[in-house]
Amino acid sequence: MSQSGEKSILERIASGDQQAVSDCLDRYGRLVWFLATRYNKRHADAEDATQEIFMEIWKNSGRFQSTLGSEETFITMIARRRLIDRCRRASVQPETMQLTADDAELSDLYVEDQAELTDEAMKASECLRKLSEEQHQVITLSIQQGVSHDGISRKLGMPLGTVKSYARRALLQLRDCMSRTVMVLNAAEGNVR
Amino acid sequence: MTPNDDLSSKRERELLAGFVLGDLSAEELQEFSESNEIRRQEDDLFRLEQTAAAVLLVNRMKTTDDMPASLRRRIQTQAEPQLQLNATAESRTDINISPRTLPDRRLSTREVFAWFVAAASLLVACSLWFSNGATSSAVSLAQARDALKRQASDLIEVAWAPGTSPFKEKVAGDVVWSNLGQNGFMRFVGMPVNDPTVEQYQLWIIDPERDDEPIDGGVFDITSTDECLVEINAKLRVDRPVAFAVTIEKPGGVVVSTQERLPLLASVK
Repeated sequence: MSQSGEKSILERIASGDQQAVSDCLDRYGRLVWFLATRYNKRHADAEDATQEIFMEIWKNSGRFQSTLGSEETFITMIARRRLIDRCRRASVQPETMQLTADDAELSDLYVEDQAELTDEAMKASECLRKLSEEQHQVITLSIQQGVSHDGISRKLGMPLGTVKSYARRALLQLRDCMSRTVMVLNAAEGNVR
Repeated sequence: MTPNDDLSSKRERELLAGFVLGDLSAEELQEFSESNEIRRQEDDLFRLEQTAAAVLLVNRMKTTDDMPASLRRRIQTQAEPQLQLNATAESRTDINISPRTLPDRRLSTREVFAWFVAAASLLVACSLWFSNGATSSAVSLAQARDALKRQASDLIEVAWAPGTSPFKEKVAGDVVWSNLGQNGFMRFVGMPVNDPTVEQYQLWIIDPERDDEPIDGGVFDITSTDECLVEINAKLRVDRPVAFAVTIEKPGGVVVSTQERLPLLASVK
């Protein structure tokens, strides 16, 4: 429950509030649909994936705890994992829209207003800036654009092994950087035990 | 820590990151599954999943399309029975099927995939989040099953019958399932207890409209010959099931069953 005592959408879903389903679709429907279409070229597959993701959300809503992260992150985790599992089951890499040579730069044109980002996304944004140029490029294409590592290898003319290595190390560095950021923020707020 | 320990943990971290990114090769998956260390890495796995989700949210497009109205309506309709269940059981902590434990023996690549799809996906990825959500108001499987039977407008209820390789003694029980809710339960009475280190039961849902291959309904163990309830954990959306079948498989289950040992079958009329 939030500090104001008001129940979050997921908490309302967990308690069986049917109106919360509409609220959830209003707030997060576009996000899930965007992710589903990013990972599925065929419209019907994207629809199936979206249905599966929301079913997981309804089922797991009772497990959400706002102290561990935002609703948006919780929903994105469920969506991303479900989409990757679907791809793995189908033994295909995520199929994405055709990218141009300037994708990484172009994507900045569509960035959410920074003020609208969740705390976790703000931290991630800061930590992304600390990566090397190659790592930044690879992880952005991999996670944000949904391009397979094969696709990144072709696009950047980099050996596949190098792409994998950059992507994995970038994710680990981001995780460490985000953990440090949390510690610094806690220290600043006097929350360190 | 020795230099070898350091190298080993560095490799495991790399494999964890590869798993979260969805880029492990078949050989790496095998290596990943055989690492004892991995069983202690759920916390790391959760943090990496959370990091990936946060990175994804940094740059998502502002102007994306709404989902089709017909899809939204279907999702809302599908949500109703689940929300009714949620209302009955505000916390479903103990009625979510337990994630499969990683079997002790060596696994084939296909089995590794099966395990990852089932266990290392949502439940393990979100385990930290989830485990902290435990409350004391959990309802029992029996209550959840009763609620489904009372509330699902499209309830399918079919009794178990002997399959192609039946048990020596008759096993009673049934399957209840809701397509709208995409959930259901199996009930067994007199089912032989299995040794999970040797073999496990696996449910298959036959849905020709959805797929030629049966849908994996989850691996489970039977610990008593008294009445046992097991929640169905379908790995794909089920559209129109025509039968539910229980097979006996290697620990961890399989991706595609040979159906050599199929003791129970419940056909939808």
